[in-house]
Amino acid sequence: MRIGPLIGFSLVTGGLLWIGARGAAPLPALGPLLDPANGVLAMSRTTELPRTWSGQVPGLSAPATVTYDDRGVPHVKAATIEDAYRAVGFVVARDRLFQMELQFRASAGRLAELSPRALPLDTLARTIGLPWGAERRFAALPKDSPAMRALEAYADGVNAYVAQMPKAALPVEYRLLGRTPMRWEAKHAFYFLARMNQTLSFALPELNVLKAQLLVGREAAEALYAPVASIQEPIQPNGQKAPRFDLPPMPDPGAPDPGAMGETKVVAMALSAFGAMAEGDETRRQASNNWAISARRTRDGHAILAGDPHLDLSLPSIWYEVQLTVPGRLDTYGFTFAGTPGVVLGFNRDVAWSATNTGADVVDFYRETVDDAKHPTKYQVDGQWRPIETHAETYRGPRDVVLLEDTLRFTHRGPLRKLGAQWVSMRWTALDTTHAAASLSSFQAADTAKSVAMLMETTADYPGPAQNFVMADREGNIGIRSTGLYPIRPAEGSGLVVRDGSTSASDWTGYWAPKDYPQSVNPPQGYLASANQQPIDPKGGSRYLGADWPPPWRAIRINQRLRADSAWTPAAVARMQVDSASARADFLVPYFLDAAARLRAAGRETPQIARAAKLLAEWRRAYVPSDKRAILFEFSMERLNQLLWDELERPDSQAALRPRRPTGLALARLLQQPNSKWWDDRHTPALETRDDILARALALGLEDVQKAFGKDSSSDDWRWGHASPIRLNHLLAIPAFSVDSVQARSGPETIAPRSAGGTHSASERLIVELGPTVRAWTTYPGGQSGNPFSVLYRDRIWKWANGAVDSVIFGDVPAARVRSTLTLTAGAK
Amino acid sequence: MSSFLRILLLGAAITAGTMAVGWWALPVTTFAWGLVASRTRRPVFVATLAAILGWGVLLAWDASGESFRLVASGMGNVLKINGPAFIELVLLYPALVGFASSGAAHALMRED
Repeated sequence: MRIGPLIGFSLVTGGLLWIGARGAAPLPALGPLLDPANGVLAMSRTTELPRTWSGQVPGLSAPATVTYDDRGVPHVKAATIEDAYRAVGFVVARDRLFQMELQFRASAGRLAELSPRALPLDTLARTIGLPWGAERRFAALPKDSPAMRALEAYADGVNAYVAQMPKAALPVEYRLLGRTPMRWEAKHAFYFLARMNQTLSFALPELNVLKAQLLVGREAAEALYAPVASIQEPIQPNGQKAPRFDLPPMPDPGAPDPGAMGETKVVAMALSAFGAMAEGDETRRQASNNWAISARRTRDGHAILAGDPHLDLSLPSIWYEVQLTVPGRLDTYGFTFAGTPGVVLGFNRDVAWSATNTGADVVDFYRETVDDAKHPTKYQVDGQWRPIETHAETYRGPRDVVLLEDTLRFTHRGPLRKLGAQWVSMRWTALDTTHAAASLSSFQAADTAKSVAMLMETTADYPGPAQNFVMADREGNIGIRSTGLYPIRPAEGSGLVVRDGSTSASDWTGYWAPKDYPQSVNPPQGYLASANQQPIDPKGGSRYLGADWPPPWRAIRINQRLRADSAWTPAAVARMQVDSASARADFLVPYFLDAAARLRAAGRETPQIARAAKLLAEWRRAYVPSDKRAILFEFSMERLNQLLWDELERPDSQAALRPRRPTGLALARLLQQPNSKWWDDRHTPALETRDDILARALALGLEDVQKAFGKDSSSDDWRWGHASPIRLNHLLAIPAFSVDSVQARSGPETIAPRSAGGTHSASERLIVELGPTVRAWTTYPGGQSGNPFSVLYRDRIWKWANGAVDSVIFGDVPAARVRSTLTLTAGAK
Repeated sequence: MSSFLRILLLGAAITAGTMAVGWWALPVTTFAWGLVASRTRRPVFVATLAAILGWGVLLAWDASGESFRLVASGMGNVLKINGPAFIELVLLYPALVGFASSGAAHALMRED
């Protein structure tokens, strides 16, 4: 034995094996990754769909076939509806396995098992009750219900794929994280739905009102986040032929009531604990468009439906396109979520439907009286003590390391949290078990509906997140309804207050009846549209549905265009979906230009203001990638918001108490009050007016653009597409799997939308013409495959960016367009 | 037996072992080789080349897949190297493991 070489070789071997087995941050375990038999390069042999292949799924009553077309869309043909869901589970797992698991983990509060950095997301998910609610809702599902059978069939399909998946086909994300796929359970779909509720319905207007109240008093705070939108272009037609601008004066910023300060502050902070995720106001960013045109307003006499839900963009997309056929029972096409069975948005041979987010206020808070301020076990209602439900929570990291232990508490209303001295509980429709099954069965029933009337009926019990469902059928009918559970509060009160939890009189007394939902069928105007605006014109005396509505700029533009044409075609509708002309800019730009003009007349215009006004006047008020003036408007708007809302600033140490900036509705009201105190910049000794601030914002906006993109306003660097590209981030934010420089026709609050960061836009586009032969067109940013190495991972992005849509194959796939054929047969459990 | 033949045979064993049980077959096989072949000529050199050959054959199989370039370049980007460098890594790693593990075994068996 040679000791020296033995030690040397052993140390090197040990090091190599350590890196091979455990990795060395940031490197993953190299052994399984580099292994050419089953490692990442072996994916080369399994990434693309084989021409023909087969699989086995337990429970299949008869063989099912899946024909993939050249866009990677699986066309499933099965003998029963459950068989179809088994097949869907199988094919979605092949394309989106990691995405499914990640979405489940996000809702279950188990992301930290993949990376400890995700611990704050996990604590939030569990604190607001996502897993608690998902389990309750799943438990409320009747065991023999169609929804349960669908979920179990789907899970069978997913697990069958995982069991038969070649080692070489393990998704790359699992390899990088050193994980293997978890077993899929039927209940996981409810976790996904809980997460969608968080994204779409966890709006907390009361939180912003309370925070603003601390700074400017109650009256001004309520006006900033008002329950009534001051510009009206409602979803339920109000008979008007143009939007109505009711712009009452805004109350001046007041002083906070010192007496209320203590309690308000405590409650606001407690709500912040629940609403940490809402700080960025995620729900308010979730915007979408849809519209339906009746047969009499289309060129060919067939109803047309269009929809484009706006969500945070990701690679892979949240959507997966599929056709499901069960001869004689089901023939539907559209978009499904990876993780839930059935088509969520789409069409069948008779009807089509799409949805936008309603944004109703379905979350309320209660100040609770507890038996022990530190470790309560009971809470008081009507003088009686009720037990608090407690859950011991353990948050684990990779390799089962315990990161955190906590106790979560629940009242009959929902999660209970403490901050400071105050215990606050939360009630949220997403955690209620009312109509739990309908959150899935509504879509299952929609897939087989025959008419708008049937769709209205089958979706009536849909609990949420509340959606504005637009629909059209082959008879030329159109309809729309804002559907979801809307709480009835004590004395028909609003959701903008925190109620006393010690009395049952504070509890919700029920939910609105579906007949009271905002809705319309075949209105005289011949079209229906929604874009997240306030659903009902409050002049009709509507009840409280929510507050802090977004300005209806998209709705105004959509209605403007729909009114202007009576011979719509699918091609024209497709062009309209990527309309980037801005009603917002049409409203706001003149105020900037007029302010500059008035300063000029008064001899107070600076060269920078004059230059900025000249450049802004050149803008055609559309966000096309080649435009070189849109960026100036956006930078000026950012400056305007900073200057205008200085009253809502807080020191950084109290950032949690800073209210979100009010929407453009509050700005629109203030623009009518040139001398309002809101316009004064508190950082200067002078007393500014509206025109001063507008002109200053314009000049500063120009300065910002020049700093960022150079002084030459004709430079290509000023192009909107260059200055503000769309970004599609991979689910794990891996740059190599993300696409970050997509130039698309889209702007803030235009029909073709985008968020300021470029990560939010139309997550899919659907157009359906309901003629004797149903025709449809779709696209979404991304591709069918979740495998970053597949040609189907990002193949649709560029067409999507250019506003193109693909004609879909609804029926048998022509031989020349078949990419792959999968045959599924029954297998053992 | 010539070194060339030994490389071929050991390489085949590494290929088969990796396909059957995964990457651990590589250190186990080359370590075992170092033990049993310690009296042969240049056992460490043979193990190193056999490791490259064994994984190289599998790499060639991967390269027949239609997505090979995309996977290699994609993984190169993930690790902040380029595609060819990632492929080189797939050959360098077995070379190092084969060299070190057979070297350790050889040193263990060597009588001086």
